Amino acid sequence: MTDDTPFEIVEISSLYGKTIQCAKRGNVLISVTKITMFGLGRIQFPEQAELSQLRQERHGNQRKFSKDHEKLKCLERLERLEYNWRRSQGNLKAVRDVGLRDSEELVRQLFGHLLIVGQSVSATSHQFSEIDAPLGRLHIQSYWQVLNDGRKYLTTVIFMSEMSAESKS
Amino acid sequence: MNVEDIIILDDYDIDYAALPDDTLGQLALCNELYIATSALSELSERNPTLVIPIAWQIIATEHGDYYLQKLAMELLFELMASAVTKFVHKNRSGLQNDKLVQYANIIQSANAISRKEHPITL
Repeated sequence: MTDDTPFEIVEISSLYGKTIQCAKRGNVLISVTKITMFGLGRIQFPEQAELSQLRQERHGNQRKFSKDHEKLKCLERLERLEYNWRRSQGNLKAVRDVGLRDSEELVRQLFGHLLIVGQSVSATSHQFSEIDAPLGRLHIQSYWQVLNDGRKYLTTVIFMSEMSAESKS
Repeated sequence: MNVEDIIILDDYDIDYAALPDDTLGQLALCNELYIATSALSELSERNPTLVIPIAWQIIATEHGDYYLQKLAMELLFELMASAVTKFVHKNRSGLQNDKLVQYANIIQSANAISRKEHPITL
């Protein structure tokens, strides 16, 4: 399910002063970064080195590490922060698993597809859809918020391939 | 504070430490899963007791994805394990062969693996 009908890129402003660039068709809005950053694994996890260091310390001497409550708390906090990065990386992996390339063309294709999906959204909810890919199908779970003014805003996309669904840990 | 104004932003643009507890609670249940994950994590550090009903709602309604549900499950288990451990320690003399003792032993086994807690002696 794709649509080559052109869509416009608009800017909406948030209460916090940030301008958000969105793909728009009718009353459906898709934030560009929700696709390009979160959907394609480009978000950063700056605490990665610190987390690796703590994991290494724990692995080296678990008994000693378990007595250091400050380090334990820090490790737990960083492991929770890592979940968002892993979700985003999972999206990128799913895209690659089905033979798609992280490219402008793919972003355009995803906008076209999701702008159609958004048209059928009538309440804050999530939708399942899929697009054809060279090595199978990319399964897409899209989360939508119906804003107070009735516009439908894509909040999150989760991409899945059969392979990525099996490899979660 | 209007949650709708926040969820149109991106996770990395939000200063969670500056948000009040009730806003974090609402965000933890929102449809923006990166924001929900960060909000639940922030709330768990700030006010663990507020996390229990929210984490339970996430699990019971299967809200969100694998990572949000995993976080909710971990937080619930940690809080419950800690409560069971405290209760059994406090009431050990009256709890011989009680179900709670069995639960405590399961927790003890889990802790023996992770070495995160002191063992329970009954």
